Amino acid sequence: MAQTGPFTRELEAVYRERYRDFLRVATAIVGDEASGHDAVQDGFAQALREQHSFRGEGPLQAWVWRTVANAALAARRRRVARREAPEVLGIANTNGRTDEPGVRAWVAALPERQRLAVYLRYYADLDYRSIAHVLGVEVGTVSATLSSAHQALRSRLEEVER
Amino acid sequence: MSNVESLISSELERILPLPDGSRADWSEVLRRAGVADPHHWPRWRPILVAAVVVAALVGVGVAIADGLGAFNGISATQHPPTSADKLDPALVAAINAENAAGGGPAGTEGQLLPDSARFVGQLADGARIYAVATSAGQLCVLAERLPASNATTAEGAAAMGCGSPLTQHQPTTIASFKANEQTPTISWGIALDTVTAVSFTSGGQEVTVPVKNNVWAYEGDNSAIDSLTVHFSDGSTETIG
Repeated sequence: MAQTGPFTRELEAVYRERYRDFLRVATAIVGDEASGHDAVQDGFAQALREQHSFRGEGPLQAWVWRTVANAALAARRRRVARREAPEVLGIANTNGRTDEPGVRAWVAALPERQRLAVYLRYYADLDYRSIAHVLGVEVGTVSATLSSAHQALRSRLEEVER
Repeated sequence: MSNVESLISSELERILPLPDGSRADWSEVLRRAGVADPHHWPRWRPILVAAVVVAALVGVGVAIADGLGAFNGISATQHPPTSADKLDPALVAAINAENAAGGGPAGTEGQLLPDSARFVGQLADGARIYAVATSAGQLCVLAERLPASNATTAEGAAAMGCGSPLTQHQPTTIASFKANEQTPTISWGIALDTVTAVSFTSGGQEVTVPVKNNVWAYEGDNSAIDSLTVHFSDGSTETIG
């Protein structure tokens, strides 16, 4: 029975310890907190169901981050397809402020992998190795991806300062 | 951290601060996964194979269970122990190992009494359903699915939920299992003698599932099982959930 899988307790511990981080990343991806929560729940439910497929190639938590990120990305794509969200969602505006230009829009304009790497680095505080597991790429690719994101954002910042 | 990283970090923090954790709900994750769902047992706490076997109590499970009333109103459990009631030896060994290691929930639920186990039915997927008492008079329902040869740990052998004995207002347990994506969800419960059926909405249709020997089971959509109506032999009903 799925509840009795080998990693159920570890998954529950990860959930309880880092729910807020998962929620923040999922919210950033999907566009609003309710949908972000939904993605977190779906991601962990999938991890529970598929825990027997976890082979230990990397940390369990990175594997869960991957399932949650994928759930959030899928939710975002569904919303865009249904035209329930702008074509480029970017970071959610959860505090009632009007949408503001700047980092929000710049991050939103990044390619998907760069955007996800930024969220995982800054919102989840994952190291490059863990991000690599989440994205399914080499650590060097993570470094290059974040470097590209930094460069793009730096350029934007410099434009504003001029 | 470079200047640009610091700036990005602070800007990201500003536009999306760390949310509060009030939405966190592990039992809902379990429900979405289609596994044993404590949400359906409002007063129950799900546990894996649980608690401590007290050596002095081994062998007197019936008296303990009867005395504490854990099985009150469940005729299928009211009989002297038979071979059918014995839990899988590997499961018992795993329980003992966990107990020796200090595992299990204990607390207000007391200590699990494996010898009090009474077999009450079998699900379509082969899982054997037992009622098990605890030393605190709590009722546990245990689904034992894996054969002994596959059961390397207690967690691999069974799933269990525990709570107060059944009452008129909580006349049945409710659990759902989904072994994997390819298998249907099985919802099931142990109910009081006075319960003849349970009904709920499945796939948009109202379904009524009869109770036989205190056990009901249903294979299919359980997304609306949160609201379950219990039908009693006197014609009355009670909606729980």
